[in-house]
Amino acid sequence: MDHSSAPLSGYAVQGYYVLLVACGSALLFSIPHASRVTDLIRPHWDPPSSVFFAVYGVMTALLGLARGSAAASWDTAGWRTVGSLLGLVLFGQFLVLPHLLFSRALLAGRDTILLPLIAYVTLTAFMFSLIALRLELRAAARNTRPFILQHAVFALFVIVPWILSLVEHVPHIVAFLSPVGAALGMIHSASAMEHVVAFAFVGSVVVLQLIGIQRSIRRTHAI
Amino acid sequence: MMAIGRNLYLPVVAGVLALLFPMALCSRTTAAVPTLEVQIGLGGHVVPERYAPVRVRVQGYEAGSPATLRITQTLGNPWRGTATIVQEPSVLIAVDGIYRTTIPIYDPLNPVFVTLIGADGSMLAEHAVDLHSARRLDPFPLTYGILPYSLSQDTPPPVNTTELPIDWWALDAVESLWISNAPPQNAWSTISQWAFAGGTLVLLTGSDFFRFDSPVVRRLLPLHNPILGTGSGLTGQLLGAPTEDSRTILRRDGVPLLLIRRHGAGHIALVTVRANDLTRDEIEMIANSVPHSTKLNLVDLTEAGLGTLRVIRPGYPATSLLSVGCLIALGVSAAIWRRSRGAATLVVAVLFVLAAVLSGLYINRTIPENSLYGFNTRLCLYTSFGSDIDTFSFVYTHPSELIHVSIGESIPAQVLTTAPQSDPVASLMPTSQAFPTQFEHAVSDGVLSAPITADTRKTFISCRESAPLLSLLYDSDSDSLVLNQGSGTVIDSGWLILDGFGFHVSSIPHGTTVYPLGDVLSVRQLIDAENATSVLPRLSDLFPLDTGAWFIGQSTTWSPLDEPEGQKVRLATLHVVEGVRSGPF
Repeated sequence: MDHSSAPLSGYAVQGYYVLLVACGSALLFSIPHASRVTDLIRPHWDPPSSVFFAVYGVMTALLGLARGSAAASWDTAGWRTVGSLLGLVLFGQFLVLPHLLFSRALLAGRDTILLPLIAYVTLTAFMFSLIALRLELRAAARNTRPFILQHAVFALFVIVPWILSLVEHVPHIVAFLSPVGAALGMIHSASAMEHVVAFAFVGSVVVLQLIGIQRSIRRTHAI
Repeated sequence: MMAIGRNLYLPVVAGVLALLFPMALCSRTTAAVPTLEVQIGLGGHVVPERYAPVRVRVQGYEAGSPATLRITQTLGNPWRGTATIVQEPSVLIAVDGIYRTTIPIYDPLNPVFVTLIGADGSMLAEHAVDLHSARRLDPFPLTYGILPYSLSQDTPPPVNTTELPIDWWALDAVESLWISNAPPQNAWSTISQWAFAGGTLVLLTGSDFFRFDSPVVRRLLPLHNPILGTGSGLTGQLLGAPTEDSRTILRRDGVPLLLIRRHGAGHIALVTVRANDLTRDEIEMIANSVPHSTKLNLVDLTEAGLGTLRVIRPGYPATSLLSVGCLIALGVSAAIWRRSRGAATLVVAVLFVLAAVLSGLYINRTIPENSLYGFNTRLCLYTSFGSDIDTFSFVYTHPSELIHVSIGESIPAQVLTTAPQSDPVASLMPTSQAFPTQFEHAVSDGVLSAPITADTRKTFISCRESAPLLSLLYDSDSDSLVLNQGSGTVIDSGWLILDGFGFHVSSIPHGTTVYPLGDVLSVRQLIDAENATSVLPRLSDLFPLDTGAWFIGQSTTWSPLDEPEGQKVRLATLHVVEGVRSGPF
């Protein structure tokens, strides 16, 4: 078990390796294979360039989930743990910064959308780290392992809204409740309202988690 | 009596003045309102997605600041959506008179509005032209002069002199042009240009030939030294030695009645008798024998050129290097972490900032501003009798989607400027050679790819430079081709061809250059030596390179277009020069 909140220690660095390998591979896949326009015109299948952004969103969220899960066993507690989790998520963003700058080539002049995307992915990863932390603390109190529950929650957040949005008569904006749907929507020029929905949903979950953590801190002090 | 007259004089004068003053005022008011009379099309017919001449008669316009014309067309209908195309031809109106221009016809089911716009932008007059009944789906035969029998039931009535257009591409909707009467000499230039660019001209001559004989007409004829026949059965029939490239299609009593020769990309058909001497069957046979006009279609050539453009994207080695470099940097930092946390923090910060900077610097060089690629082909034709013809092909691609612009794909697009009267550059430009630069507002395959708004006119720019001067002469004495490149245009390479045999030249210097005819290859061998995207195969299909002297030059440049920024557009200019032979032609 990882008992340190240091970013380059033991298990933590493995998470960053996974993030870099996944983002690097996705970047390679996202670059169109065509070298001449005639290759673009010819019927063929190319992985869509949005693959990188989807992988970036999912893997950063998974990193947050893993760090949040590990944070329960750290030797820090309370708000310091929350601060450390935020720092670890931001450190992950720092490590993928070269990839993100590189990904501007996939956006064809729309690279200003990277800023809200990075902010959103950071917030999402932080949200999952807090959810994982709370589930881990609750499970520790009951002496159970929350691994399956954590990943079920992750799948619920990531996949379900996105799948739901593909169903007829379900408003498309539902996709923005999913980190993947929101990330893909943002790079395809989402509207201001869709941005607001995406940020508001993740932000409200973060606030709820922070409130929950604050209550548990008060309870701990009271005891 | 005199007293009575004097007494009545003043009231009568006052009464007359009182009557005349309002009338004068009314007539003054009437004169201040200009009126427009507009004719669009040839013989009252237009064809969608073909050009049509526009004649506007302006009356009652008081000379002042020059006014301009605005032509507004509407596409579609309320059910499937409408879009408006506004064109402002470079026509400055200073006095009353007839003004001409040529416009592409988009959707003749809707009326076309022609508006006279004052210098201050105010609307002075407007005329709506209903083209609904004038609409033809296909090109049609056009006659100048009367035929004894109609070519078909729906052949439009003969056009008169004033209806003959001044732009060769205004004949775009004509399937074949039948001339049985002498047009004005200045009309021959337009007609011959149109024929060279793919039109079919039918000359009905006979004893009428000498009414419209001229050096230009002699160049067009498939006969050398034409004379009028005499004697039984030949009276009034035009005779002469057929040119090398002519074919006799029909005969009357063993004497050629219809001869056809290729003229550039088009055809000249000569009927050796007067129109009135033809029988109904003969007219029908001639109509069935003459080929239809073709458009100088360079779309396949343009597509091939588009396909050769490099896709602007980052390379795989650089991407792999980035990924591997980041992993190594993280590994190094993690290794240092075990010994010194402070040093590791510094190393990870430095390495990843460095990676980010290098990544940013690399990607700045390869970043595409948009995902559109365009290719324009400009074809400049120089005929042996001094006509310069420009045509444009235009094609662009979005990723995995190839889009043609049907209007203007083989004939010049329209010059459209927002304010020709205040734009000295635009006002100097001739009324051809423009192309849309905002692709999303283009018309693709006859279907509107995106809503066209009134702002569309701002998306068209003119791009024509001054016409380069190119001429070619075959000097039989020295057995050499003399090419005069008298312009500032750079021609990268080309081919010199005489009667189907020629050679490749890698650079064309300015000025006059003499090329001795030494080792020559057949056009077929020259084509085989070129790659699939070469212009030579396509142009050999369009022009009769096996007869006469020809120069084909090409130059390709990246088009320095300003908007939209970063657009990947290449402009290829082709020069096709029909040469002349020294001595008697």
